[in-house]
Amino acid sequence: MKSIVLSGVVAALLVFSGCSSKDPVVDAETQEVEAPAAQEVKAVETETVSSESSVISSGTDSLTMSDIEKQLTSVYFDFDKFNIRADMQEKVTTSAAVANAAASAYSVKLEGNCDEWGSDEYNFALGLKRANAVKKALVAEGVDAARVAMVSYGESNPVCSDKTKDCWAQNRRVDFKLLP
Amino acid sequence: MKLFLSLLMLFSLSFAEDSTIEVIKRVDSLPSIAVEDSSISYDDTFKMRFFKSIVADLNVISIFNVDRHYRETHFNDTNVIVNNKDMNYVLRYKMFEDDNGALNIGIKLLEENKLVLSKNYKVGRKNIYMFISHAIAYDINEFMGEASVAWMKRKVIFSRIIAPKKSEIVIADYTLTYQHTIVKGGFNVFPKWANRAQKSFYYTALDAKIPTLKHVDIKTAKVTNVISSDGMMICSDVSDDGKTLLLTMAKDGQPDVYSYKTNTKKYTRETKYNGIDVNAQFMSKDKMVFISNRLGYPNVFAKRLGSSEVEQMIYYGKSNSACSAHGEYIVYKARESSNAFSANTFNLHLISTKTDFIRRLTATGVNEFPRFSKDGDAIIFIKNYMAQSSIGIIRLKHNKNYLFPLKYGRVQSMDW
Amino acid sequence: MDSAKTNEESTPTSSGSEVNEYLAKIQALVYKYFNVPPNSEGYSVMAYIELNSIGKVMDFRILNYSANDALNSEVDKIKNRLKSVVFPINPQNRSFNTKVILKSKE
Repeated sequence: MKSIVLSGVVAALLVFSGCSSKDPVVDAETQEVEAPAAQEVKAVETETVSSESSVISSGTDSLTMSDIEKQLTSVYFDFDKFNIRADMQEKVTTSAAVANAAASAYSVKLEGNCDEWGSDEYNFALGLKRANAVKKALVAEGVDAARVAMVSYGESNPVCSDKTKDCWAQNRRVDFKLLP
Repeated sequence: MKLFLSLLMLFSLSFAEDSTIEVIKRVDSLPSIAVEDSSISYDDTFKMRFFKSIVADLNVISIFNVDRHYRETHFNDTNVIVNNKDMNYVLRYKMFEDDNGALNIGIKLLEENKLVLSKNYKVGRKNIYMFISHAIAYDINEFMGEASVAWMKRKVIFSRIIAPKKSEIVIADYTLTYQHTIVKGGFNVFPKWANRAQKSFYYTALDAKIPTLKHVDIKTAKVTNVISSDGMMICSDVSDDGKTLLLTMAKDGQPDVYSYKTNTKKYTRETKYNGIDVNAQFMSKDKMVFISNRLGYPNVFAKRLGSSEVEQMIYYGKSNSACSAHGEYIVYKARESSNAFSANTFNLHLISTKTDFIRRLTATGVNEFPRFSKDGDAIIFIKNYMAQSSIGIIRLKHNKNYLFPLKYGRVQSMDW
Repeated sequence: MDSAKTNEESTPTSSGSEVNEYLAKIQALVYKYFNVPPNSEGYSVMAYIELNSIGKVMDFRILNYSANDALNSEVDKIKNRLKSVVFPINPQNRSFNTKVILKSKE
């Protein structure tokens, strides 16, 4: 009669904290440890540069990074498409202007998003193509390409979850984020 | 008179050299099996949990008609329980806790009251009891001479979205009964086993400064950065020997497939098209299938690593946006509606690259992310239907689908 | 066999019924170990079986396969299953062989 020891199979499953620039907490014991509520490491958030009362040297009004970020409004796209619509053109031009003036001290991160209820790589790529279309438009308006980074979240970052065409339209977008 | 004549005919026929017996049988008559619990340790709740697990596993191997009645007996009884006397097979098992607190399970497979198979299993902790259940079903399946179900014993790794831009990576058994969150916090997607032995895995960290592919050794919990790329950074597939990765990277916003050698850490660009090339999967050691929109819509193509010739593989449909390959077969995700204003349906289809065989594998909902098991016997996929996210398994030879729902969150991607 | 039966052996009817029973038992055993796979409806395979006088399987082979892969794989497995099966004792105390049509019902 054969004996099969299965303890080796899952013995060394360990829990550690998620990604960030810090080193994750490592438990080097070989036995499985049910970590006491594994630490949740916060993702790198965009920070406010300073309190509202301080003055930024560029001589503009004392605005925080997040205030400026609010001026960069999302660009919306049509179903299955990644070209910039005529009615979105003006938004992009305005954002380019902000990027070159009030936000000139920061990097710009473009986040591409989709509406489809699907998480395959293709959908991530579609989100990225949207971000790229916005980047190209910004560069065409004089923004330095080296300042602009892109990422795609596919449909993992919805702003709403109703099954309505309005909600889907709101999710097909590129968001602007500023990084110090 | 008639009867006499026919018997006479039978008699004369039977001893003629060219006699023939005809055995005609319906497709749905599978041999029956009942399960008897002879456990001597553990409370009723645990015993019932194990019983349900083994009954479900026996069902999934699809070679029996499984009787679901719970019955108890003594392990060494010479006869099966009276209610089971007409069963073709009886699986009798005994669970007991030894002095070290380990879970021991002994099984006997009886065929018409005759012992045909016996085995013992042991695990250190009872909370991974389901892996023994899977091993028992696997061993019985092997004993019956059926096609391998090695995938049943493997671990599944998946990422679960719990809130916008928040996810966790979980290791589970194929039924999701056992779940262990191995990466908590942050926004991490596309986990992928790094080797056949499932001792380490890759995943993409999206809230690093730029998307970064990371490698985790499960035993030591050591995390290393492998490679980063602006825009997109995904490990789509790993070669059988673990030495070559197929990556999707999007330097300058241009998503393409790259092959990457883990020993030299060098990558080679495999696709040159200006649009979208993603989701590469090994078809054989040096050939891959991938998704490209070079025809104006996403479709499945193939090419040899290192060469530039690209071949279209699917000639149906207007949007085929995910794929996986095994030998001569490709499974792909087809969008079957094109509505900007209502929910869309995505179904999985299977084709042969050598014949004109094509088969639709699913019928409703959003079915995506298909992956063949290493032995090609089954396909695992994600199903989102009516706000319920599940992992699905299709047994190709038996034409059966099984769904394992998630209690919370949405499955983003997975590997097994 | 007891003496009563021996007397009756000369009568075709009763021998016929013994043989009938013998064949029926063979048919029933093969039926039991034949697990018809799905999607094979209508296909059939021609096999050959040889039993010795005490019911042991001396030979089992496929003479003609069908056009259905699933059915073909299944009949290849039947040989192994029948290896340990004890067939009935031959009423004429001799070895016996026959062709067997294994058919998946439509």
